Amino acid sequence: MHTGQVRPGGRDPENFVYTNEAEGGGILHMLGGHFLELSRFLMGCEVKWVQAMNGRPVGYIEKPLEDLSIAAFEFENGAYGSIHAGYLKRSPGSNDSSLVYCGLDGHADWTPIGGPNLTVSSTCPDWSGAPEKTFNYSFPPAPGYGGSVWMLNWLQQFIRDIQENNEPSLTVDDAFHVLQLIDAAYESACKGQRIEVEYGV
Amino acid sequence: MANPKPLRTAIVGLRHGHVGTFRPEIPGFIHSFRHLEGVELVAYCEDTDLARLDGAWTYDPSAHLYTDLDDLISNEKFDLAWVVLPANEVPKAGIKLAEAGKHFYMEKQFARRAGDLAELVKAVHENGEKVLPGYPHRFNPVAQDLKGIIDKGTLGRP
Repeated sequence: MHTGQVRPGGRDPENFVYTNEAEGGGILHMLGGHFLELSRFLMGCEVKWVQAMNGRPVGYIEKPLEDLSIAAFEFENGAYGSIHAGYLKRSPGSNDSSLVYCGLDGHADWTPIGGPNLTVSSTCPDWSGAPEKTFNYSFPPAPGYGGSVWMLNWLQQFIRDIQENNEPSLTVDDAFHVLQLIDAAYESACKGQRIEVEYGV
Repeated sequence: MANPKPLRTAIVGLRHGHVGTFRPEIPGFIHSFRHLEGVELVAYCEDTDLARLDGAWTYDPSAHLYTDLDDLISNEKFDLAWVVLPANEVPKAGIKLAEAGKHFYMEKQFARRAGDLAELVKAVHENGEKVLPGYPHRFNPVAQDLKGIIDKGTLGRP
């Protein structure tokens, strides 16, 4: 995931989300968390081991926060994953992102992440007639945060969960686990070694 | 549940980009609430950049305005807080809200470090409020369908 650079004329280095005091981390912390959460959702389990490298190739973000973070993961189920995230794009407002999920019998490509197309290929017998399919989605616009009906539905579901006393499907524990993973990635980047992630209060 | 009472909601923090602005009208959570059912926005609270409260009454004449979270909690009747604060301010605010019995949404990031969030996690567990972290991507219809495809075994072992 690559997004606009933190620099004068781009993402404003004075914004609190790019400062050590307020945010406490760079790209992996501020934006990477979204995709780490998405990865654990899709995988159905937590990351067990992480090995990361961070850098400041652009260099305007407050030290010691990173512009670039690259991390490799081993999940609890034995699968491997990686993230490459950076405040690297010179053109403000543009993002490049891609999620690729590889299984031994097929793979899925969601590019860009959040976009309307999902391409899936599979060698399983049910798919023998059409081993590669592209699913096209429409995202009707809606006002407010996120700009899409599905985002509004996400917020509406939380309202419903409170009214009906249901546990939301994403909880404070999920938030905590993502932060614990990010912390482990930063520790790995500092120490230059892989780190086992410890979860829980 | 038939016609539950609207959740009285307070927005806590107006500096974050995702909350939007009153003037000029830049879309954000402020505007989402006009299109959500079962909620009533009753208050805005901003304790640092007080100019952000300008325009609130033009946009929302019935809302109460606060410049201190303790004041909001003591003096406003509300059920739900929408916490849109810098990461270093979320834990303290969340603990106060949990101990006051308020459900809340919290915009990411939720803390500078996981250790800073631990007390908030404990407070939420002890008090039992519902908390929604601001990670929406798993709720995208594409992600939901992809999860279904994965769980069905269509792609095999990862």
